Amino acid sequence: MKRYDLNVLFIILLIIIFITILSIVDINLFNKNSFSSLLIVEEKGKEIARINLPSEQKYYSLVGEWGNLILEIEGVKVRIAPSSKHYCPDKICMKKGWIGNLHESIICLPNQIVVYYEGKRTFDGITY
Amino acid sequence: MRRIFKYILLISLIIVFFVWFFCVKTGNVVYRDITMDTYAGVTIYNSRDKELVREAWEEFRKVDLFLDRYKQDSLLSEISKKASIQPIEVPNELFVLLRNCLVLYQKTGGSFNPAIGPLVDLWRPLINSQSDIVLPVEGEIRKAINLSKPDLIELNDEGHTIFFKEKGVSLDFGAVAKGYAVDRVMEFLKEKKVRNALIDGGGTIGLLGPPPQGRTLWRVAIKHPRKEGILGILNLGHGWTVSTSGDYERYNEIGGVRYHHILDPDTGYPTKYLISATVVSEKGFISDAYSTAIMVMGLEKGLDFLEKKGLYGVLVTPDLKVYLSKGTEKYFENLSE
Repeated sequence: MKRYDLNVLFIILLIIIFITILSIVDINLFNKNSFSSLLIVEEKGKEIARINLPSEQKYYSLVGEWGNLILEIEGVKVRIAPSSKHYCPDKICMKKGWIGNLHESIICLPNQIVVYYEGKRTFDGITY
Repeated sequence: MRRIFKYILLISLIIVFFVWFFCVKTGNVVYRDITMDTYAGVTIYNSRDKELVREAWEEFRKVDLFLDRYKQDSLLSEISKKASIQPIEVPNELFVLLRNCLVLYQKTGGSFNPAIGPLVDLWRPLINSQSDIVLPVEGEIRKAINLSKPDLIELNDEGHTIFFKEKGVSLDFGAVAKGYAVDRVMEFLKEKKVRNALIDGGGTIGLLGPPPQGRTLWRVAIKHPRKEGILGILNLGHGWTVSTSGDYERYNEIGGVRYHHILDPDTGYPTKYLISATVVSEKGFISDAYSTAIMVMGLEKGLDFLEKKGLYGVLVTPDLKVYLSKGTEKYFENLSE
């Protein structure tokens, strides 16, 4: 192999690696945006809990007129623990399972409980 | 040695390709600008095609030019001037649009009225002005009501001609222009095989395909009619268009009374039974027309109408109570309480 060929290959390789790194950085930036450090729990429009993430405590028990709601937290991910002893006819919030992204929320309509990440009780569009 | 280089090169290329592909796929392109008297935008998800989003947005501008009543030589102002003298031929698109509007006029029992031009012209200076100016007098209103009748419009299907039986009749597509434009953008994007997009025709929201980020439902917020922030969120699947009509968008308060831009074709005055009406339909043209019609109908008739049509809707009365049409409760998160 000629020295010239090697040089060309080397340069191409460098460019490729450079682009790859750039792309990966880009993806990381994108992902970072979708994590939040704060979780809010609201009942009937009133904030009842504010949890810093990632949380040391794994379970949070919230008591309301509907019974006992257990939030299970794993890093930045959250779910309503299936063991929660609160009355709910359809258990949609439990079936929802884990949420982990900013745009996600857990909504319990019968008890009017909303669990969401701060700054992101968001929507895609607004009609007016 | 040479072989190793080749392998490295090949693997690197594959990695770069995948990463690049992934990056391109996760981007969104947005184009927003002022048109149709509002701020309209198109967002295409999983795309970086800026040309395409711009092209899609141009549909808004086309509709704006097409349905503008107030420019000197616009199509509608020409029709207003000439159609009472003799039948005049109009472009197919306008003819079809007017036909469809007249169908909705029938369906809404006259609450949506594409011939409301004379009344709109009467109220427009007052509603658009910031200062207190005098109210239209009863005689003027009567006259405008009598001219705002679709029965005075004659359509000829063969020649695609329109004729007004009286001088002063004029068409106004203000109630459906945004929704109609959203439909056009939607059609355009479908033709271009775009899979996920959100079309915002200045408050009329069109949802194409599933929402981004792996969610199953789009979240469309309804503006609170009396304060900053939102009334609630509609969680909707793909293919829907959401329109809201309200008394808070364009109005002028005189002597403590709010005079807004949605007019009752029967009384000739701005509507007063509802302060906001949101309707979900598969077509923006229809959700727009119905949301306006429901403002005119009021609460009971409006809910009844939505139920008969099997449509989702959110209505707000002046005492800020929120009413949902049957089935809507499954998709609506009320954040106003």
